[in-house]
Amino acid sequence: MAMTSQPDLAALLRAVRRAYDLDNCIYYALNLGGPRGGDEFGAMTYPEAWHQRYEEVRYRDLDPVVTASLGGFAPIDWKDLDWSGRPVRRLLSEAHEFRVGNHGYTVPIHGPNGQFAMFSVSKQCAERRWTLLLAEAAQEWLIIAHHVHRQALEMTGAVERQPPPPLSPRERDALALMAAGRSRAQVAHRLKISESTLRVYLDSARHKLGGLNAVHAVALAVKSGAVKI
Amino acid sequence: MIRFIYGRDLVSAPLLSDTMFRDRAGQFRSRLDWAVSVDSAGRERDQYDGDRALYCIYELPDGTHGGSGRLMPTTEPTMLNDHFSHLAGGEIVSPLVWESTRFCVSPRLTGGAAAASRISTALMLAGCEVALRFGLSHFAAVFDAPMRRIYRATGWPPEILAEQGKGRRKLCLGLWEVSPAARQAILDKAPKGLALGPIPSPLPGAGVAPMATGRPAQAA
Repeated sequence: MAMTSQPDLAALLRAVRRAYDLDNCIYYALNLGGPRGGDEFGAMTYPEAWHQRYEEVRYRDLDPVVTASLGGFAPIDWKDLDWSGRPVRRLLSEAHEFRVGNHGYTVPIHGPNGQFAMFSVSKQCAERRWTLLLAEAAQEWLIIAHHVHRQALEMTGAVERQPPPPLSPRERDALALMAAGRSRAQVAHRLKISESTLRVYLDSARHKLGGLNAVHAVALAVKSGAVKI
Repeated sequence: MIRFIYGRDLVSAPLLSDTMFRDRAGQFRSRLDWAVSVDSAGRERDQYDGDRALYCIYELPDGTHGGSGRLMPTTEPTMLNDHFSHLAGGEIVSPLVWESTRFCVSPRLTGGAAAASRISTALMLAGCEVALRFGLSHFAAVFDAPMRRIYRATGWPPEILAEQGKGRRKLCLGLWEVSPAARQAILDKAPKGLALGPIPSPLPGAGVAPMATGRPAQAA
């Protein structure tokens, strides 16, 4: 099946690739859920030829990354997967020809009504370099994956998006104090919580508002009127 | 040894999963007297035991369940948000925060408190380890007050965000911050000789057969 690609999404992926000095960055929704359940949607920085080849041979049916992603929510370091077996080794060697990168990481995303997408990054580098990059960036990739997925859902209008749960009073207080220019230490002190707990409130608020980081969340909260300054 | 298994793959480890659900009945119904539902075969399950729940299980040398916990991102339906959101003053929803539920050490264990403590420490260490690997910032859990002592003994105590009720029946909402320092704190307090070795990632069908890769499947 042909995949609809989205120029805006592709630009976002190129920005991620640049920011982390990666070789490739891919978002691929195999099922958008709801009425457009069967539709596929995505964007990638791979050469188009690799995507065509991948579809033509139906590599996805045997791609260990897809199989592992279908299992659940745990992000996947490609090197932990089973790459044995002739068809899988062929996939690997062709991916190499198309310069996909020898290391990769995938964040699986599952949503309501069978929604299933994968956000992947890959890079050609030595193992030591890859390990360092992962330790530094895994958390940010988790956030970016969900952000890209949300953008994709909005672009396609695939699902009638359920409004995110409302900000809790604590989350609103935290954002309001941040918006007033207080430091995290000051906000935590004021709310009588630890900075670690403040992080949970801010991150939950960030996710509900669709922001990429705390500052972005504060801006979105002010803009939407959820927080008054 | 520690195993991470998705709900849908539990069928490939029948003895392990069967003893886990029975041990859960032993702990949550018989010992703690929670209003949980137990089937005719004596297995405790609930609506959160779905295909994508991730089980962290300590497997005893005889292949049965020694202890376990159930993990799920808070972006999914969680006990915390479905039943206890009043404790946090609203829902906590973030891909960086996972919920841990049904933390259980087998009531069948021989070896007393030392054996139980060894297993709960191993489970906490494994949880911390994969959380670091996944890039998580916190675990959240609702648990009954006596568990606090057990969590403290593992070297990784939760920060208590809210409490409800009194005495042994008191419920606590706790947050565990994931960090290399937390992992080190567990290791510093761990019983002698507790080394988990490399913890395998949750992979589909991993319970069926050792992977036929050039990479040896390692586990302690």
